[in-house]
Amino acid sequence: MTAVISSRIGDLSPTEVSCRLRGRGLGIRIGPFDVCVKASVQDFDEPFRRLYREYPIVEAGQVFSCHVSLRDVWKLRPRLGRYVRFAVDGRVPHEDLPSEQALAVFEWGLNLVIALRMQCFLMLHAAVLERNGRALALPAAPGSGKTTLSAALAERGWRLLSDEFGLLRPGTTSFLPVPRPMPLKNESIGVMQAFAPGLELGPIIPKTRKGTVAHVRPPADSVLRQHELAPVRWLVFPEWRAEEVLSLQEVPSAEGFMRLVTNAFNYDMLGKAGFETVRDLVNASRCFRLSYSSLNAAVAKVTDLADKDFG
Amino acid sequence: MTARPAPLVCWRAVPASDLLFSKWGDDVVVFHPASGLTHLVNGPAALLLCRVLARPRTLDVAAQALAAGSAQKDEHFVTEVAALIERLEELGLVERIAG
Amino acid sequence: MVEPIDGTAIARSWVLDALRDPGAVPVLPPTELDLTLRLVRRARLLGRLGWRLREAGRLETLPQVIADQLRSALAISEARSRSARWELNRLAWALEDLHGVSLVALKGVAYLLARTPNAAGRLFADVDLLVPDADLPAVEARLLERGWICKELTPYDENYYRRWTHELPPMRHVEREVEVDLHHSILMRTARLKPAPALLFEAARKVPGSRYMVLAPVDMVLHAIVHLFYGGEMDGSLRELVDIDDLLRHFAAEEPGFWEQFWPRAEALDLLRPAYYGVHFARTLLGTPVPASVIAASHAYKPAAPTLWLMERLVPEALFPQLLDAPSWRAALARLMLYVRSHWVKMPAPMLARHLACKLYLRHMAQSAT
Repeated sequence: MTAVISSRIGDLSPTEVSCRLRGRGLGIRIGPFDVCVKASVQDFDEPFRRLYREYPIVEAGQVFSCHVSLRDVWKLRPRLGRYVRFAVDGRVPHEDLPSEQALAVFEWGLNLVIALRMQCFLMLHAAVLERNGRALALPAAPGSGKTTLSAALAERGWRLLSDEFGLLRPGTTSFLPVPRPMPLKNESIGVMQAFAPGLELGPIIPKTRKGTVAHVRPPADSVLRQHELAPVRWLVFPEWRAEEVLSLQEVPSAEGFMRLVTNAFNYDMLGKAGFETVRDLVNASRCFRLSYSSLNAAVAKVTDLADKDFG
Repeated sequence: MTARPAPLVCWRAVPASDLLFSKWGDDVVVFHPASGLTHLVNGPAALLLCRVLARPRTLDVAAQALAAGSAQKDEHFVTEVAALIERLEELGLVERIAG
Repeated sequence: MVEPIDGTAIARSWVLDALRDPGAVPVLPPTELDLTLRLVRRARLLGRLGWRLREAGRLETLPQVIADQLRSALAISEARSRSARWELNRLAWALEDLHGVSLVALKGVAYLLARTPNAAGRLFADVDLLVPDADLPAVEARLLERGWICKELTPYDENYYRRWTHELPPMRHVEREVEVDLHHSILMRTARLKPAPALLFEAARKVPGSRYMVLAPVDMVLHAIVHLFYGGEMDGSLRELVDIDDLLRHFAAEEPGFWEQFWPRAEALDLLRPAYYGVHFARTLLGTPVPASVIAASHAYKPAAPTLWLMERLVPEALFPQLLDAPSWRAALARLMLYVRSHWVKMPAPMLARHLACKLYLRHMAQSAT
């Protein structure tokens, strides 16, 4: 019994997309997940259709990994207006947010569902990209610039596997793609637009709890190849700081191990399998620390590393 | 420990077969499946777990074994070893055995 | 095809079918399978289903999307099981020189230690221990010395806990998340029913190779029943009824004279009414096999007809998981009525009124503050 995949979101007209979102739900395959999306929020349909147009549709009447919904609600508090309520299987995990933020709410909500539920994977808090058949993982805490860096690498020929989740099946060292629109925040939006003038962005959403957010559409190729795993080769721990001098320094494996462990969503949960998988990842890779302020320089440095590493 | 434990108290590490070790150079990472905890341990701690406390030992004997080959052990060193063993006991990696 | 409304007989029967015959789940039609998995997940029983399918060697043959969900539930269950066992290990270490103190494991950790069937794939949460009332201060003091702290509570809650309930305020070790609940009885001091703790300790059984004891079989079942019907929250408590069903089946097979002891023991512990409810609902909702003589004897302990009629309508409504995007007022009302009732049986009316009023006021204050 395999899910029926007939076409892509972009094959549907805007009316059909809205109709399904408001009706029985629109099924979409994202990496290893089949997600059923229902939405009744005005600000959602068009950006969703645009950013997700390459993704395969999963027809209704299948088993889904999760069912998420965005509902339009009118409220008096904190301020009279329209809000969007995110729910997964009828459970509302956080407070309602202004309805203009619908797309961001969907993206964060889906991240939450994945992080809470999908414990069959080891999930690193990392961007993952592939070049020459090998994977680069960028494990980092929020605010370290990994999303911007991964968006930039994706614009320079790297295949995007994820900007947020380094997904592995325990006992393996190959990453599973789970490409998604990449959320840029505040100044990074301008920085990326300068870096890649033709960049396709979702709506610019102000006043979210993370500031102004805009999502980069993942490259079509990354979505079309979202079933292709990539074996790990480089673990690069990035840190952006204004005025920083560019440096890419190889670090000892033990340091790589501890940094990975502190950048994993569910290392503790997986117990022995988690330990062994992280150990194997470190043994299969070279570990680096990357400090940078210039996006161009960082992209060039990392790409150079990949192209010259014949190990 | 606020006072030195009675001399006949022995300490023993969790059996090595119950632990998973990964060594990179001088760095040792230990995984303890029963607790689900991962520890990055220093040299002395790794020695205690792998070798010195593989069989029950008193504090003095353990300190002696750790000091072997380096500077003469003194009261201060023994106190430090005592604190290390106490911490390992709290983490469940070492257990106390009454003499 | 219109998606069936959750909470109706159809959805309930799917969940019950999945519990009764896990092997049949993978071959359900996809829409039914999808909804069944969501409901089973909501009932906190997905790990149980996953465990049974893994034991039957069926996991590998399932489509990825389904197998991944079940493996995920198993991973969570195994992680929680490990946390619970380790907490027991550390508690035993902390209390090692309080030799004479009986420590009786309750609920989840009891199932873990006694290896009852409902332990497999279970989502463990807190560690619950029954300790003789006289020993509670010493136990609490020793834990505080060795790294445990009391959870932060409002002064009202702290007073409530210490004076009236059967627990100390929850504790946890500073380096861990697991909550440790120390009880001196299985019901509050003020409850109308008075199961004597001394009887429970007397009959408790040592777990081989462990510092801990567990309740005797009939007592363990009665405790599970009390916890379900007098525990307060009944939201999605199907799992508690499944526990009762599992335990009854297990002990009926493994424990000689189990059913013969059941009613006499319930009487000795002043738990006849809850015992009636436990057997009645396990039998009628989950099909627990109960000897005819036991059913016949149970009629002596049933409530007045109007009460029974009401409970038979409220309990299924409240027990079964809901998946609606819009809340079901019937389920919510049923749960509220059972919540109030469970407190009513635990507290005199004036105290109950004050308690509920205070909790509502505190919640209102908390919400206004955000």
